[in-house]
Amino acid sequence: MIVGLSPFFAWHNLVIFLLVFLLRVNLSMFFMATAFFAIIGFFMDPLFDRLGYFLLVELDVARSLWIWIASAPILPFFRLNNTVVMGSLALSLITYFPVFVVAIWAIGQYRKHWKEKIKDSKFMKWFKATKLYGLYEKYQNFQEKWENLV
Amino acid sequence: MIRWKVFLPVFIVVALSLWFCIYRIDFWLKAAFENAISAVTGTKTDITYLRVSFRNSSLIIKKLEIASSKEEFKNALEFSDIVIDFQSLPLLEKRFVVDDFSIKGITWGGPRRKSGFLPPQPKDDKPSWFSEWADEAVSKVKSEFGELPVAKLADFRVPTNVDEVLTTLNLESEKALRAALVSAQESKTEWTRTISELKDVSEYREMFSQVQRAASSSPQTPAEILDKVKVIQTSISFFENEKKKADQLLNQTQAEWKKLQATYKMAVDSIEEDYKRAKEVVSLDQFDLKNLSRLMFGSQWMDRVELVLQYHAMIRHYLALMKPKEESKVEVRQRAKGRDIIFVSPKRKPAFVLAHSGFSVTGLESNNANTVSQTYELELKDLNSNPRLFGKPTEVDLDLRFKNWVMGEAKLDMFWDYTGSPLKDRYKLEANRIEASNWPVGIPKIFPVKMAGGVANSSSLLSFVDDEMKWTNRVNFVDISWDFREVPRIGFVIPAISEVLQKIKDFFVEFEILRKQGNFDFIVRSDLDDKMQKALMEVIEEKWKAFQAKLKLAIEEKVAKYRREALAEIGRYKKDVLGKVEEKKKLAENYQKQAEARFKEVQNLAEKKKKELQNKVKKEAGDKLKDITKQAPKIKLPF
Repeated sequence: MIVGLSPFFAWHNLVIFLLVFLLRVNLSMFFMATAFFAIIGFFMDPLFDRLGYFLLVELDVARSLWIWIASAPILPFFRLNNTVVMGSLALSLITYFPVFVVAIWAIGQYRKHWKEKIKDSKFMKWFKATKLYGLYEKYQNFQEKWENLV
Repeated sequence: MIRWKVFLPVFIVVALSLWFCIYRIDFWLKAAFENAISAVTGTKTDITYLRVSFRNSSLIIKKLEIASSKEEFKNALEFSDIVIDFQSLPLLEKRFVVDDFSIKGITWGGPRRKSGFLPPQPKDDKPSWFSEWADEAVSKVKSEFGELPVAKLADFRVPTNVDEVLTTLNLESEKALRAALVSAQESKTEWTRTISELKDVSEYREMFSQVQRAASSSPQTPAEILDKVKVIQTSISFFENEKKKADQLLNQTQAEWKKLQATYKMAVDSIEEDYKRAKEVVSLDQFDLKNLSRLMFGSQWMDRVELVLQYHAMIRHYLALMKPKEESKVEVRQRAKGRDIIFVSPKRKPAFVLAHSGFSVTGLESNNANTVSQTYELELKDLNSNPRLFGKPTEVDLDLRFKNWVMGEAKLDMFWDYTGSPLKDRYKLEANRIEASNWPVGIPKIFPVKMAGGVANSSSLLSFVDDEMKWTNRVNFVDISWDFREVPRIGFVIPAISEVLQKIKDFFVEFEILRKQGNFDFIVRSDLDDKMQKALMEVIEEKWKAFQAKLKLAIEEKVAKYRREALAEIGRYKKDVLGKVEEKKKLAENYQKQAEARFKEVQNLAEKKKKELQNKVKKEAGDKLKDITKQAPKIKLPF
């Protein structure tokens, strides 16, 4: 969600990418969520800009923190002084926990009620027959072999 | 939890990416520098070699070529070596702090192998730093140049036809003299009629003959005397009355005469006025020669002014993107996505700082390292990307010395104080031994004169406080020789100016440009104007002396008829009106005196007669008394 909502070339996204690759995260789900939230983020840029401006300029209590970030080593590269970066990051952090809870519940519901139905649906059958899915399968096989090798 | 199996490949990928970035940074920086300089200059920029060393904290650029915008295979400027020593740690804070900066070898106008022209770019209407007020002010001044009477300089010729000038003048003196003539004629007619209302001379004679008659015979009786006295007294009062009338009339006609004389005098004076006007018509005042230096040097200077003001706008734009406000603690810069907030705080530091650097650069002749033709000494102080955060003004001092070049030496001191409000900047330039032949001069088409030899020494001070501006530039031209080869020999004024200018070797021109409270003034001062005006007037006076004499004579001839007639009419008025009234007055006076004399005679006569009668009555009474006494009875008194 953080990667999708915030501008793609923000440095904190690189950190999240590294974490995603290093930690046991479902990559398919990660990329799907990134694409989904990127579409939402595209329309929410004006809101991020206003929220970022509020946090950076109008919220006086946080001023010293932003000054410290702007003066500290490495941190200035994260462009947290940009209203869209700050707004999108802040909103995604605020909504992180509720979205996490909702996502866990939704996955449970999916596994319980829809997983089999979707698996047997005509759409999934058609999708499994496409080249894209073939490529995914090849990648999965490669991944398994690589993990066994390592 | 951690995918240890993935750790190694990810580490390798990251390390390779980092290595690739460091390896490629030279190329990226090179391209970035080339593009940035090209964006400013509008021509191609090439860097042969660029190396960033994080170990030595240095950036080395070799052979930086900036192509000429006019000649395809020529460089405008070429730097041999540029070395920038920077601090590594501030890079982690996204800051670029330069410890030392030096340039070695500079060449102007060197050849280049590839074309320096950039592919045609869609032209932006106006760059973001474009100064609207400078554009507006310069356009206004330029349009004022268009209104100056430049074409008259070429068209003007010495007039030869006197009548042509007189016709255009519509002589006022002619009108005035005609008016004086008419006025004299009317006055004469009117007063002659008034005079005719006085009694005729024959009546005077008749009246006087009555007096004479009355006085001629001696009266016998008192009644006769009384009659004579009455007759004479009536005549006296007649003459007295006539004299009074004549006297009154004389005063009035004399006043009128004075009026006529004044009118005539004014008419005669207007001849002189007409002559002055005639001289003005053929004078050079209409060309406003005080503006000659403005015409000759002004328009070219305005082109430079426009360039300098736009460059200044660019500097301001990049050095002080946001106009600082005392109370604001943040600066907001618009970005393609969102806005960047810059916190203004004592703890913050600007992203780029070059605290102090002083070095000298030598200019190479024909790119040959053995031949040094120029020396530049540059001192940079407190150069930075955010003056408000840095808190100190920026200074750049540049000393230039040239050998066998269009300029001998120059000193440029620049000062920017954008740390607070108001924004202040100052540029001081002193350039000596500039070849005068490079100085733009002349009036296109009309007077395209050039300076063939001599030198110019220039001192210039340009200062800004916010948008208020004062720019004073004084140029002393020494030992100038002029080139008139392209000057057309048309009209009278252009050759005369050429003739005069040829003799002027030393002069100064001062340009002053002011912008105060939104008003823009462009003032040009020069001792050239006075010198030119004086010399030109001498030439003109000499050439026009004969024509002016002819002009005066023609005016006098043209009004002579009316002048003569008016004078004659006034003379006639004096004779016919004043003369007659005076004559009448004298005559009445004379008759009155004579009548009074007669009256005295009659009075004497009456007195005499009275005495005679008294004596006679007395004697008769005495005699009668004697007779009575004789006849009276004698009475003897008893005592």
